[in-house]
Amino acid sequence: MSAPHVPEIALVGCPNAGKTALFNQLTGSRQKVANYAGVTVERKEGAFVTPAGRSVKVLDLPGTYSLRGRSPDEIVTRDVVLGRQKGEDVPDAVVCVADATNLRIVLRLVIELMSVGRPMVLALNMMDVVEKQGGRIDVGKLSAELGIPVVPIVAIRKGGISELLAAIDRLPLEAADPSPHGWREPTAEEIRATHATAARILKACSFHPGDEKLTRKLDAVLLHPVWGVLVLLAVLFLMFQAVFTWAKPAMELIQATIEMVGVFVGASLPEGLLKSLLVDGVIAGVGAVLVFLPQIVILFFFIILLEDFGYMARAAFLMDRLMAGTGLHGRAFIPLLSSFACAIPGIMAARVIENRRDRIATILVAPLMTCSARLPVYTLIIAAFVPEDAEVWGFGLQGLTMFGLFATGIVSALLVAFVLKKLVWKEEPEPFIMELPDYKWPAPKNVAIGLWIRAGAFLRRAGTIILAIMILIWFLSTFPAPPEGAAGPAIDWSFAGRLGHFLEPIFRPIGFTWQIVVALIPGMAAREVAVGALGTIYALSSTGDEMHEALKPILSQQWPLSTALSFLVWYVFAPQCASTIAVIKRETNSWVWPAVHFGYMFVLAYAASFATYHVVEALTR
Amino acid sequence: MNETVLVFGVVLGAAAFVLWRFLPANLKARIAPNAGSSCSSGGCGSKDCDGGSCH
Repeated sequence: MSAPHVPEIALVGCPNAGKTALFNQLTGSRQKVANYAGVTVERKEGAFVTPAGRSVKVLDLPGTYSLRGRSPDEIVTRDVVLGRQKGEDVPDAVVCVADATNLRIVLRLVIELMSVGRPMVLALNMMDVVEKQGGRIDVGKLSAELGIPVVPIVAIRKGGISELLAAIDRLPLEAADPSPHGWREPTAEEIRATHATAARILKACSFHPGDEKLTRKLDAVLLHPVWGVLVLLAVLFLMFQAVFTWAKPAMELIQATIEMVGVFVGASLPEGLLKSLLVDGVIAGVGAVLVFLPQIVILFFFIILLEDFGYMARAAFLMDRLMAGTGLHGRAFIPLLSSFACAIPGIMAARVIENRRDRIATILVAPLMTCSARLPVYTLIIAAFVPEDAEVWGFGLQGLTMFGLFATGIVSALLVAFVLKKLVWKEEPEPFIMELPDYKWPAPKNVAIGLWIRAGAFLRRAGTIILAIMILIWFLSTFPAPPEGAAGPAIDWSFAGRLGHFLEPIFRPIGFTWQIVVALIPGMAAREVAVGALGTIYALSSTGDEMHEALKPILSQQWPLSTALSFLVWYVFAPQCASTIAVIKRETNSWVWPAVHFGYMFVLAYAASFATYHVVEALTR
Repeated sequence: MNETVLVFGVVLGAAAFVLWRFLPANLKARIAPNAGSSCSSGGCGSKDCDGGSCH
């Protein structure tokens, strides 16, 4: 005689919905409950007895937003639910665990799960939080709309568990179809229809004060095709104006402190190698980079604030329309946005894009977004060449120039993507569906922690890799020493000076001097190092009164405007980061794409700088 | 200590640090398996590239 069939229930839900907490309440297992997305990555099985005395097995499945299964975790969940997973029985019923505070997301999953046709209960978790927020969900109406039992629960406090068990008892477990389901991937049209159904049910059954009062009103403006784009441009514009105006006092203070330290160290030490290393190498080099800390903090203050407020997802939505026109997938927005901090996490974030060509197009254009390492270079040149009090229609020209450089990076990335996707590969992007979070006031603690992390990372970089490179640049710019009786600056005789003079003919057509060429080389390790390198090179190139002058006035005296603008344009396009090349190789598992990346960006940078230099020369002559 | 020795020691230390930072991960793992990886790309300066906190 065979053992009686023990019904099996699958716990399904979005990440962080409280599946693991419910699993613990049902089975009494001692599994860790955490709030991080994707915590349920292993197979977890338990058992419990219902009030009617039925033994039931329960499977805690990885969190997922849909049955489409984009990641390995989501594929396991889908295949178990559909009965396709090898070594797993077809579940007799599904308990969908929903975060009641975010019903909008889970309703789509519920509708998809219902289409599979297994007996199902919807467990509405965190109902206490909904009530605390002043919201309400009409459970009876929701149950009637969906046609399945809906039970409110508070998984972490055992609230509603007996009602849920009773609902499970009423499910026709023995009558469930034991064969795998012939589910297929929905079309874009079907996905839109599911969204529309979910939105209708949500509107009919739930009320969230946030939705009604703030989110809807704000979205009417912020997601508007015209006003939304104007607001986005205004926000970005304000951000770059603030980067210049707010940072100025702090930058001046840091600059003065660095100069004071330089004078003090210079006066304290006797003439010699050690003094030169500390004053010309470490203080002039690292100091030239450190001075930009306030601007980086202000830039990230805005980014973190907008992210916490819920605006970044709206910006993604607005940008998606633009990106779709260029052939980029909507999911490319997050990698491209991350690239404003650094291209490396941006390129790695492109893993979320399934289609290989979409992913490669995103990886190739991500380095065109203005990373924070470019900021010191942009700021230095703008401050040296754009008058501080110059205005256009009441707006500071310095901020406008910075805005223009960021915009040039974005527009170029979109144009390159357009050429790749529409003209070379001739592909259309897949539809992209995105969840917009409710607006909320940013928590000051989160903003402060975010800024602390960013500022700490910048200072660590300045104190480690940038410091080490500055020391090497000082060495290469100091040795070998000039022969006895040699005229001119000593750096001309050094390794760096000779290398700069050797390579100068290649870059002369775009207006670069040998000092710039030397600064570009360590800039390959980290872009902002070029600023420090220029600081060291000019400190060692100068004589007499110029010795302790800040870099900004030196550049404005020695560079023509055409060279300055050509240098800025070079920095917008140049493939100047070895780490980025390495990570492209790793992410594409090929040397072809790093070579394509380097080649196209070098050609673009050279051509754009060449054009800029010669046009400005012609105009200013 | 002789000033020249001190300065060249600092320069050599800096060179070793930069070299280590840009050494491919597989070579690093062979030389010092328990040293912990810095940012996988080597030069970005963050141990948490995946978290997007490179700079």
